[in-house]
Order: sequence, then structure tokens, then C-alpha cells
Amino acid sequence: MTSRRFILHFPAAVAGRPVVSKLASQFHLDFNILRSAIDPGNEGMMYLEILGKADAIAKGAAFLKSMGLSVTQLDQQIRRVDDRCTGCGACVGFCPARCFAIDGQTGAVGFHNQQCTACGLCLKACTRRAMELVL
Amino acid sequence: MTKTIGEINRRIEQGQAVVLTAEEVIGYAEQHGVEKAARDVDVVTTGTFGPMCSSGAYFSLGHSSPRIKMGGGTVLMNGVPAYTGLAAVDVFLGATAMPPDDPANMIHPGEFRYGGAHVIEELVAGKDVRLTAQAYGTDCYPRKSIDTMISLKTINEAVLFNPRNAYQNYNVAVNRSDKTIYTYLGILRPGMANAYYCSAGQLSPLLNDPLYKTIGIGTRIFLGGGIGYVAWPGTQFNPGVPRGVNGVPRRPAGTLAVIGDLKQMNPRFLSGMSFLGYGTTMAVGIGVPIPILSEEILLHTLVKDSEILAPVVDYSQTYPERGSEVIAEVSYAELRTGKITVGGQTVQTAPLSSLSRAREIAGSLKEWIEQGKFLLTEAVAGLPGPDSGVSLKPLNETLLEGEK
Repeated sequence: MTSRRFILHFPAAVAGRPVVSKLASQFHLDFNILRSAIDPGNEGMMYLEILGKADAIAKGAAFLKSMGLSVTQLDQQIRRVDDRCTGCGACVGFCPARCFAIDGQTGAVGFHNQQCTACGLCLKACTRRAMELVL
Repeated sequence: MTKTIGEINRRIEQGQAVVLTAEEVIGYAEQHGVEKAARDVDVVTTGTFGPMCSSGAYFSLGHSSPRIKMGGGTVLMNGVPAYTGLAAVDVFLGATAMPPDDPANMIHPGEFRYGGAHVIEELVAGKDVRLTAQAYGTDCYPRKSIDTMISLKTINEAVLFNPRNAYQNYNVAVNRSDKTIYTYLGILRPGMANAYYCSAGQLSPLLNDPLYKTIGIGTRIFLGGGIGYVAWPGTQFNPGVPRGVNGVPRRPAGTLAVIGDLKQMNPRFLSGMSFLGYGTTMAVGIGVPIPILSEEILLHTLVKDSEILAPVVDYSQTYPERGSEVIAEVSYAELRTGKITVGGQTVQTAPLSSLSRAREIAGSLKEWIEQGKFLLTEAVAGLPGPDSGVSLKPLNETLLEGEK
């Protein structure tokens, strides 16, 4: 069982139709809606966590795309420029999703982006401006 | 058992010196006993890499034709102002200097993406920097402005000269107010939700020589990836603070003023930093070798994170108001677990001083000494000790002349 987080953009034409629910009924996936702003008839967005087997998640995401949604995996939105990072650790104390951790053996600051919700707080906390938001 | 620095240097030159880092020596002494460790080990290397605001560099830029007297005029380096109250072409650029058109905290919290520290980092990385100067013009220095590119290759002298680095212990910052605050110890969430600390702990230079038995003026050190020297006691030197086991200070105490040739340095160990809502500063890499001249000196280098206590201070009120309240004392061993308990509350902790790079510095210095490339120096004068009477004075405001 793995978990992946996505940001979905709904074109106006799709926003009024049941789409995400199909992940459960057709693909046997669980999901958590982390944040959502959808008005039928208007464009909408949703932060969605999908839980299940990795290949089923990939099929589910492909299905969402086939329905006309734009689908971006959240953990690919925030990137660390490793050359700039000095390993100070400022991010460790600030990330609400606890994506950063100091390795007990080496003291190095690791970036584990699977839990990342792309909130962007690390961009502000980073003293080296080593974190980037990929649009 | 006693040794002299001369004897240790001879062993270094012969490639026979036994050198351990301040972390390695702890295990060595546990395994072999203090007496044998003091006999066996010649040098213990320390390291730290953290934000150190009181840092900067002076440059002697060379004379243009016709000449310009920048002294007393204005100089910008990549848009960041340098101090010109010196001779015609000598300027000093501080780590925290900001471009005059930076909005700073006008839109709070400001980003402070580029300041003096970043200019110094770029120069050290070999990049060209734009020099813009205005002057009033004299008979011997007729020119009134210049706009050109410079680099460390074109500058005559480029010298890192930091009035205060390598703090011996430091505060742990928390925020007890109900709103987020932006400090030089990071972004602190309300209700004591997080805490930042900033020391290399058991690797930190002055925590391994807490009573300044070997580190003094003239001590040769690793500085920013090159070789530097301790120039003087650092500013705000405050040796009389409460001390614990083996004289280890429980409050910020000693500091070092350091100097070294910028042209030898490496941006990996001299890096500009930006603190949201606060300003720019520079992370400086410093490693100090401690010659094991006696069992007593070795004992000091055995200090462990669990034995070094730091004060927890409220940066929403106590610090800005210059209060003295210490909420709690916690050890670096506790801080490094990622959480501490303060008054029954669990507080998430994070460092601002890079442990991985501190280790790299202590390791590099060890290698230099093992390879015979770095010899130890005898301090030419000591640093003021706990009983010296030296203390930190506040700035108390008085009536102005004529107001009495």
C-alpha cells in the first residue's frame, strides 16, 4: 500500500460530474480530499491523496487525465537544489508534513518528498533559498 | 604526562601525529582510558559551520587611471554598499549589508535574498562582481566615478576579518506569544510550537577548550576552507557566565575574532544566508585544532552533547526586551533528538548550524594535519578567562550633553 498526493485541476465542463468517486468504484483505491474548491459550472481544484497499490494509483491517475483533468503529482512540485543546501536544518523545524529529517549517523539533512503537500513553507524557511517550486 | 607544541609539530612533520576529531576522541578515551588517550593523541580537531553575522571582508581594489579616492565616497559591490571610511581604495564589506533599494521589512516579512555575505560568496566562487563608486574628486584623485567588474584575481588583498565568530554555546529560541515571529534564530511559531538551536555542540571549538587553555591570539585555524588565525577575543566576549561540568559554559560565553586570506577560501565553507524577516548573514566554517598538551586538556575535549546545556529563551519578549529569564536548560543531546520538553510541553527542535559540514571541517583539518600540511601554533596571548572580570555591558541610555 502506497500513498501519492496529486493536485487536480477541473475544467468547467468536468467540474459538475462525479469523477473522483470512480477511483473507489472502478480502481478499488482509497482517497483523502486534502483541500478542494469546486463549484459546478466553474473551474475547480483539488488536493487529493490516493492510497492503494502503486500500479493501481498510476491507472487511477491516468483515468483522471482521460476525463480531462490536469493531474500533477505534488511531491514533484517542490525541488531542492542540492548544490545550494548547506545542511543547516532550518527546514526540519518548519515543514508541517515533516518531509525533512536529519540522519542520525551522518548529520545530513534528507528531503523525503513523498509526504510533501507543496505548501511552500520550506521556500521561506530555507536560509539558502535552495528550495524551488516547479510550476 | 605533558607535551609541547614543538614536539607535536615534529610528529606532524614526520607524518606520525595521532589526530582525532572531537567526536572520535570521546570513543577513543572510553575504550583506552583517559591516561592512555592523553599519551597517544596529539591533536583533537573541532569544527563548526553556522550563521555568524559579525563577519565581513576588506578589499584593496587597486588604483584606476586616472585615480579615484573612494575613501569617504560611496562604493557598491553588486549593489551592496561597502564601508569606505578608509584609504583611497580600501573598503570593507559586511555580511549583513543590504542593497539600498532592497525593501527590507517594508513588506513584512522581507526576504533578504542578497546581501554582503552573498557578494563575498560569489567572489570566493571565482565570479566577477560589479564595482560602482562615487567620489568627490581631489587634485591627486581627480576621478569622480567608476563602474567596472572586479574579481578576486584583480583585487590586491582580499581578507576575511570577522569580529565575532564561533560562539561558545548559544540560546535555544522559542516563541511564547500568539503570533509567528521572524528572528535570526529562524521562524518561530506561536505557543512554543518549535525551537531552534545553533551550535556544533561536542564538535564546537570553544566547547572543547572551555577555559581557553590552548586557543588564543595567533592560533592557526581552518577558516572558510583556507588557513586563518585567531586575531583577538571576539566581540561580546563574556567568560564569567555560569558554568557546569569541567567549566563548560551554560550560556553564550566566549567568541573568536578571526582573520584569513579570502583568496584561499571555498564557498562550501563560506556561504551567504537569508533569514526571512531578519536579514542576510554568512555561514562561516571554522575548525580549531587543540593540541593535547596534558591530561587536563584532553579531558576538556571529551565533552559530550549530553553534558552541554543551553538556555531556552523566549524571542517574542525576553530577548527583544533584553530580559534575563531562562525558561529551561536543555542539553544538545536532547535538542538533537528533534524534540525537547519545556514546562511539560513537547517542542519540536531543529538546528541552524550544519552538523554534517561541522564534521566535514573537523575531518578536513584532521587530514591536513595528518598530511603535514598544517602545523600548530603557540598562542601569542591568551583569551580572558572566567576570572578576568571581562563581562558583557549593556547599552544604557543617558541624558545628552546639555540636557542635564
